[in-house]
Amino acid sequence: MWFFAVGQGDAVLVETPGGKHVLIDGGPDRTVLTKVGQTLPPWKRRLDALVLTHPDADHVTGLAAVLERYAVDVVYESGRRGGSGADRFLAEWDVRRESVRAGDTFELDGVRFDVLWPDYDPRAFASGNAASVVLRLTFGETSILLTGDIEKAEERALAAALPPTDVLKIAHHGSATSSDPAFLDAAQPAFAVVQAGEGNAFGHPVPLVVDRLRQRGIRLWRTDADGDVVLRAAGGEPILEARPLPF
Amino acid sequence: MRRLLSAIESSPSRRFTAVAAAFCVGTGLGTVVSAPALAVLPIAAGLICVRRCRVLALPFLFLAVGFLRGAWPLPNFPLPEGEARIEGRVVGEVEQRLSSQRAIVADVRVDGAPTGAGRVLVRLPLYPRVRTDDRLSFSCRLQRPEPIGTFPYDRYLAGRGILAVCWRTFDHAATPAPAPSVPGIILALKQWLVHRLGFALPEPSATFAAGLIFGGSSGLDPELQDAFSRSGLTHILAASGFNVSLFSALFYGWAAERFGRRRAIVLSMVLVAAYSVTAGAGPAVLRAALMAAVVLAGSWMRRRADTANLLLFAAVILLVWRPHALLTDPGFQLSFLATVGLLVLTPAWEPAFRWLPKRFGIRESCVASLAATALTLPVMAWHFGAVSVVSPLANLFVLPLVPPLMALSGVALAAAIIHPLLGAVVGLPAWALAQFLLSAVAAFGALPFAQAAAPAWSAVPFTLLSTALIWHAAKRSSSSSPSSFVLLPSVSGNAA
Repeated sequence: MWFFAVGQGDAVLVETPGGKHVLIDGGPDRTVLTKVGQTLPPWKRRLDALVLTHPDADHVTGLAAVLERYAVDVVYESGRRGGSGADRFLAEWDVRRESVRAGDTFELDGVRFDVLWPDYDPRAFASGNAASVVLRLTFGETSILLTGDIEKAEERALAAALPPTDVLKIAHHGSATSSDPAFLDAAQPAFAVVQAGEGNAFGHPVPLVVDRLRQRGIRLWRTDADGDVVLRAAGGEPILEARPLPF
Repeated sequence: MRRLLSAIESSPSRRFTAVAAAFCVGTGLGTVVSAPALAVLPIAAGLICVRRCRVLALPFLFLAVGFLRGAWPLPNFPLPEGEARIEGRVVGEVEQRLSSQRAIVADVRVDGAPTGAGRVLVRLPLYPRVRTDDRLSFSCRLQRPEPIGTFPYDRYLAGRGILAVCWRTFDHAATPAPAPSVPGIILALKQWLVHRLGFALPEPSATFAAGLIFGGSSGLDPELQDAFSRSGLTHILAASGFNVSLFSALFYGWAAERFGRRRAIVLSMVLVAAYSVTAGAGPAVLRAALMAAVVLAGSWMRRRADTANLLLFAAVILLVWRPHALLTDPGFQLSFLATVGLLVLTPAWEPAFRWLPKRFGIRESCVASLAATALTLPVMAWHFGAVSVVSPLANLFVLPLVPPLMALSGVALAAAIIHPLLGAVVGLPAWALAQFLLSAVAAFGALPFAQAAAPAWSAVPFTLLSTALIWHAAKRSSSSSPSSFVLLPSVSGNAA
């Protein structure tokens, strides 16, 4: 599983044991094409699924670029539409689309994708961030929580029934609006990954969030400082390492 | 001096040289002085010469014409206060960058009112896509372009007719033109081909290969672009004279066998014109295209052109079109200086490099790189404040592999046109070679000493050095190399 350094945005590529690929968010520009191009076999032009957590430009723009280059079997999304040109492009692209809600699940080669959020109509949420699709991936004993840009209210709602997880993708690039202490205590991750741009104007990840993770002994990986981060798991203890892709 | 005047008087070719050179000098002076009335001075000098030194009358007259062209005032473009709704027609190629699109808008209307002459350079989000000829509208606070360090970006853009920029747009919408223009059709075809190449090769190899074939590097990651710059290899991503000469030579050879010489000449001219549009009609491509057109025309009449005059002819045509390019456009300066280096320095320096093997074009590539690098040093120092130290070595290593990669990419593209999956399989050799070359570029660029800072003042000693090198080389070898240069490309042409 790759946490790509795509600047100030999210892009995560999951590779299953059988060589299937799922891309979760695409980052703010076309950088993800270079990342995907270096991680997929050079002859492969198909992605088994895309997941759009929410339609903000820093998540959807790269996915629009990917749709232009790769055959995609299905796009999972909340169904909430945004205002960016990239989201309109994605909405009009001829591809199978499925709206997902909490409780939905799909599985690829033994990797299980459980949708934990949104738990009701995403259009009813006050903000796009709050309606982010939250995924829990499990493979054997390994579990990974991908949180989109949810904020404290959604984190608290999730914390009540959240099973412990090995790896947490920190919500909203490490903004102070997220990473609520109660949520971190419920998730109990051993590792956390923040996807943020080097020298970003928002100061993400903010020191407050970094301190919270440190206080809980959570090992933090940052794409702004470490570059691309790869996670390997054979169903047991996951191994994370910084492995910046060459280009 | 007397020998020079006598040479001009006795040879029509040298008379053209004098007239064209005078026009270029006049253009440069005109853009610096910006006072059209001063054109009376060379006109007066020319009139005096009609009686006393007839041979110089025409050059003085063309000096005045060039001066007037250079000093011609730019149109006024009133900037609106605050944000305004801008509308206009997209002209030229829309540059697809990593995180944005850049378009040039003509026939601009601000809040519904026409502005007259002057174009706007606009940066737009990646989506929705904008294409040549589209009617584009957006909200924006227009700004005047400003210099970037020592680089007169404002004057560079003004030379291209761009008098306002917009870096942050809102609500942009594009409507396709009811009847696309010929350049619009050609550029749409190019976009389609580049898109197909993306099926054959994964990124960043696809953008790299597209850059080699059509020019353009803005789709690459900034770090990789920086590596190209530090290793002195950016020129291979700029559509260059090499591309024009390679494609025209290959096509001419193929067409001459099937359709005969004269039809092949006409078809080659059409191809060169079409390629120039697809490659963005930059100074390097236009220079090579104009030179190729003259050589092809000469070939029709079974006459050979003088190489120096070919170069001057191209310069005059480009300066009539864009007079400010002479002093403000690095692409223009680099292209012409590199070509002078190839034509003058290469033949003089080659004997000193006999110890290098000729195989795979190694010797030719090395000498050409050194020659082009030596003459472009002043421009690099003046505009960019840095020169690549590893450039000769990097070019020696990379350049011989560029034509094979272009050929493999072309094959992959052809396969991708038939079917994307076929393109992906046939493109594997191109992908492997592209990855290898990109790794080499990254490695050269990562060397701690790859690039040395060169303050703007160092352009002066570099200019003196370049002049001395040309003077010395011109004395040693004849500058009249075969005019078939532009039709018989070699690896060396890549630098121009």
